[in-house]
Amino acid sequence: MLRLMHVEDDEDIREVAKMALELSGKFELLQCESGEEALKKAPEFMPEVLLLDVMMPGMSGPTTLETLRKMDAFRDTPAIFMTARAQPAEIEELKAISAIAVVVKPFDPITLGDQIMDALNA
Amino acid sequence: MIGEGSRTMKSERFKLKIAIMALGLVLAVPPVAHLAGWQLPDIAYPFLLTATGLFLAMLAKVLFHRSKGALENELEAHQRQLLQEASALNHHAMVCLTDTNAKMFHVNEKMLATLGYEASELIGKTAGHVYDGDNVELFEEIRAGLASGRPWSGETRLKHKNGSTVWTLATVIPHLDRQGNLAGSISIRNDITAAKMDVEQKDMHAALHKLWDEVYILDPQTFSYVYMNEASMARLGLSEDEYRCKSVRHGECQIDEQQFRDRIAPLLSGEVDHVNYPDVIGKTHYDVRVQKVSTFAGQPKLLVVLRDTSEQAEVERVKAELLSTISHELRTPMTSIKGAMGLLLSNAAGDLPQKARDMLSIAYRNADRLVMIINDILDIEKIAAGQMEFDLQAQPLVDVIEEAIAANEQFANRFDVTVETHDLDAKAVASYDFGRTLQVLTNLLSNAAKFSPPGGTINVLMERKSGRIRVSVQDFGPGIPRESQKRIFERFAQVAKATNSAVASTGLGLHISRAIMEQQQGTIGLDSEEGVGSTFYIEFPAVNHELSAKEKQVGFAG
Repeated sequence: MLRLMHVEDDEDIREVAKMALELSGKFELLQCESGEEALKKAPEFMPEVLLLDVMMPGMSGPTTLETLRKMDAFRDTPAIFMTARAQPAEIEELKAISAIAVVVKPFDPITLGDQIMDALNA
Repeated sequence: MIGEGSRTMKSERFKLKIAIMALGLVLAVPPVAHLAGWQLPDIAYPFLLTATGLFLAMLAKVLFHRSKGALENELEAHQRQLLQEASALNHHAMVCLTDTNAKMFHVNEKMLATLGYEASELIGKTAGHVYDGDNVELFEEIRAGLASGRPWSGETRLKHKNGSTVWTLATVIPHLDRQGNLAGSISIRNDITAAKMDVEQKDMHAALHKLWDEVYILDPQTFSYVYMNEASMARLGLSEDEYRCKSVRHGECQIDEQQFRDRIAPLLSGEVDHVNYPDVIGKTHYDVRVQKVSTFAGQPKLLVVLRDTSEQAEVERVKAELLSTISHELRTPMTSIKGAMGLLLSNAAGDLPQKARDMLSIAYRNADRLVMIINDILDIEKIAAGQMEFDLQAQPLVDVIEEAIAANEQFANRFDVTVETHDLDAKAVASYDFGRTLQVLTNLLSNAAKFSPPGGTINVLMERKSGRIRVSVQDFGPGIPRESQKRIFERFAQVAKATNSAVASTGLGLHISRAIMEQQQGTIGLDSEEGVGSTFYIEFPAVNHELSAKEKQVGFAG
């Protein structure tokens, strides 16, 4: 079971993602509703993979990742972004800040777990 | 002529003197005889009377003859003067005489030369024949005025035989017969075209000078400025005297000379008649248009027009931002809707009764359709704003074909359709954007699946045609009526119902596909026959294989 931290401000999406990831049976999940909460809980949870929404009120996904990267423990933690803005240029920007993959919203809940595993194994 | 007239007059005067002297002598005989005391015989008086009569008759004849000669002389002189005046008039002005039906029966040489006609081409035709376009109405107006005896003066626009306009300043007077009845018209005209053009050019020059767009005229060899309008001078801070010694290479002109040369190369080589490109000078966005113009001196010049499009660029930016935001805002709830329904349909929340599953499937398909519409509308807007990005790479077309077939497999299975490939040439290389071309082929394959009968086959074929590579997707569905084929690539141009009414379609797919192909120097088309099937194809210019292999190596190395 991989420890996965999911950061998403939309409660409904959190709920759908939770059920989807539980369905795959491969993840121990911690969900946070903001970047600030993620920064607070990350040292205790010690995630092995980060799943981050991009646009969030307050601290955005990229800012959250950049802040986590400054902590030694999360310097190399694989990070995957979820975004509704799926322009090629935006996807490239996210990869440029060390994301290993970008999942486009709306995502397929049935294959979400597999998409994450594929990105980790790539 | 003049000498002869003078001699005639002298001879008349001499005869008159002789006659008066003779009369004087005859009349002097009786008184002289009386004073001298001579008795004249009675018979002398009738002779004297007869002589007097004869002398008087002679005198009258001489006097009459003199006055007739003088009159003839005057008339002759007058006629001469008139002829000279007419000659001067014919040299100076166009003259045309018409009859009562306004038909021309005399057109002078000047008018024929000015209008480019032979006399035989105009004689017998109405004067309206030489009036230009809407000026024919003016001709009718002048005619009506003449009928009531009024002369007319003003500008008239005539038509040269070659179609060009000849402006004239005309005076038209009624031509009256001996009884004073209208017998036609006499028109006298001066050609004022040059003066008119001069005024027109001054007006145009003034308009050009005041235009909000920046206007430059350049020498095509040296790129030095021949002309700048006010807007150009104002931006560059140059006066008329200053810009004449500048060219685009001068720093203050703020135009990148090399870029300018590259851009206008096709214009200078004669490949195109104008070039148009966006540019940013300083921080301002411009639309630059360059074309060749010929001046009166015959030396071609370059006309450069710079239009400030900053406002338009800002509007486009805001629009793109808004669309992006809307797409995000719409996709976020769609993520929950589709996600929740997808989980329910996969029994993640337990088994569903069949009826509930059927209803949920309808909701799920339509949620899917809504997402497709959002994506397609965003694509359309991106195309319209020229913001769709293309990463053109020389690569084998087989790669994208196989990817598209794989991506479409589930869809084909759903419609019980088999995809077969024929003649796929692994060496066929084209320069294309993988993702966008995948989008086009996926669209063609899914359309083919939708319209195929269950258990049917879709053929994917490749062929080379004179330097181009064609990839075709053939189905054996109902085909497309000929009248619908023309508009099938237009927006929202759904021309037929799919065999499965539950098929999602936005009617934008083929429109987007065409735009994508055009952006890649490719084409899209179809051959279809009702009751037989449809073949949609895309074509790319073939890329030299060796070159592409090299490029591919570089690509892998990167």
